[in-house]
Amino acid sequence: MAALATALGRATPASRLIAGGTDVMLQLRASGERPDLLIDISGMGELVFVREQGGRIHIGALTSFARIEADGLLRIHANCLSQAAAHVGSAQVRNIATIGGNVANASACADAIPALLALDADLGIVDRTGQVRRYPLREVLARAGGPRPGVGEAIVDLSFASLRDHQRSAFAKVGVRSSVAVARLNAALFVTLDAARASIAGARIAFGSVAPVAFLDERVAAGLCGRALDEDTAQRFADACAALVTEAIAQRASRPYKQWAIRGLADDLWNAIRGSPTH
Amino acid sequence: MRLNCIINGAAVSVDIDADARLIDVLRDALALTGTKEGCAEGECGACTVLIDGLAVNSCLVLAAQVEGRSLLTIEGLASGDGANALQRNFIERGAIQCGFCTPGMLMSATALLMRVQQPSREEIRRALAGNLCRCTGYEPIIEAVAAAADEMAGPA
Ligand code: FES
Ligand code: FES
Repeated sequence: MAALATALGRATPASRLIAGGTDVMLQLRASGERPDLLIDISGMGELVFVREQGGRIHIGALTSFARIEADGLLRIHANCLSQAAAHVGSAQVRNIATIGGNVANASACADAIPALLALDADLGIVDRTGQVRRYPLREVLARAGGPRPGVGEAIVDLSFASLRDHQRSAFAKVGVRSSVAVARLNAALFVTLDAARASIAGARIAFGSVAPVAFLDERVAAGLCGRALDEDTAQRFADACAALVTEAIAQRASRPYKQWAIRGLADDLWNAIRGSPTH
Repeated sequence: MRLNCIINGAAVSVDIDADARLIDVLRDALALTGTKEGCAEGECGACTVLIDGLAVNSCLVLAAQVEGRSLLTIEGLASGDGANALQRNFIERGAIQCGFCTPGMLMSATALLMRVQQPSREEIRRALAGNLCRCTGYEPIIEAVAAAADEMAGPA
C-alpha cells in the first residue's frame, strides 16, 4: 500500500491505473494514447479478498469476477452481485477483469454497477498520502467529470451491509449475445420484506445501459413498497420499468428493442426475488 | 524493462516495453506464434493462454502483468509423443476446419478440464463461450472436449 501511495504521488492526468487491464488496454489501443505513467496494481494480492467484518461485506478492488462468482459468502449476502459477475464477458474476461476496475471505468454496461448500487455499496478510495476515505457509490457515480477516482487516487475496496433476514436481491440482464456481448440492458433489485414475508417493506432498484451511467431509480422502488408479493405487483413493476425505459431513452434507436426487453428483465427480477430463499 | 516468467515449463527472461501486450511479446519477441490474434478486443478468444491455470485473453493483458507467473500456451500442450487427448479428439471429430480458433479453443478447454474432470455439455459451452468459431458450428468442438474428458477420466 505504501508503494501504491508513492506511485499515485507521481500520477498526472495523463497516467492510467491498470487493475485487470481489460478496459484500459482497449481504451489505450482505441485512442492511440500513450500514458506518461502506467501504474500496474494487478499484482497486489492484498487487494484480493471477500470477507465479512462488523456487519458488512468487504471486497478487495482487485478481486476478479471469477472469484466473485464462485464466492460462497457473496452467494448468501449478495446474490445480485454473484449473478452479475457470472454475466460479465467470457470465462477469459472474468478471470482478469476486477470489480474495482469495473467500477472505476463505469461504462454504461458495466455489469457490477447496478448490483452494487442495489446493495448500496460504498467505495474505499486511497489517495497519494495513503489515506483511505469512504464514499457511497451512488455519490461517486454522480460526481461531475465522471465516476472515476480522481488523479492520484485508487479504489482499494468496496463494502455493503450483510444481508439480514427477509432481505433478497437479484440481477438480470438481456443482451444480444448474452454470454459475451456487453450488456444491452441490465438491472438489479434489492428488497426488504415485512416480518410476515408477504409484502415489500423497502426496495432499491438500479438500471444499467439505459443512461450513460447506471442509476438507482426511486420511483420504481417506491412503487413496490407496501405491495404484496403477488401477480398484481409483478404487473405494476413491469409497467413501471417499461415506463422508465420509454422516458429515459426516448431518442435512441435502441428504444423499441429495450421497451420489449425491459419486460422480460422485470419478469426475471421478480421471479428471482419471489423464488429465492430468504436468509 | 525485463520480464521474468515461466512459459510452458521453462524459465523465460525477455526485454519488453512497459505497455506491450502479452500477445505481442509471445508472438513477436518469443516466436510463439501458435497463439492467434483475431479481434484484439477480448471478444473472439483466439488469443487465449493460461496464466497460473486460468484462461485469459492475451490481447487484454499487459506482458508486465505476468511477471513471476506461470504461462501455458498452445505450444505447451502436446506431450513428447505428439498430440494430447484433447488435440487428438479435435482432429478426429472434425472440430477443426480453418483452424484459426483452434489454439484458443484448446486452451479454454484445457483450463476447464484442469478444474472439472467430467464437465457437462453446459459447462463446456460456458467455458468456450468466449471463443468464436466461424467454421464448425461449435457442436463438433463440444463433442471433442466431452470425448477427451471421458477418455482422460476412463481406465488407462
Ligand atoms: S484476439 Fe484476443 S480475444 Fe480476440
Ligand atoms: S475452425 Fe475456422 S474459426 Fe474455428
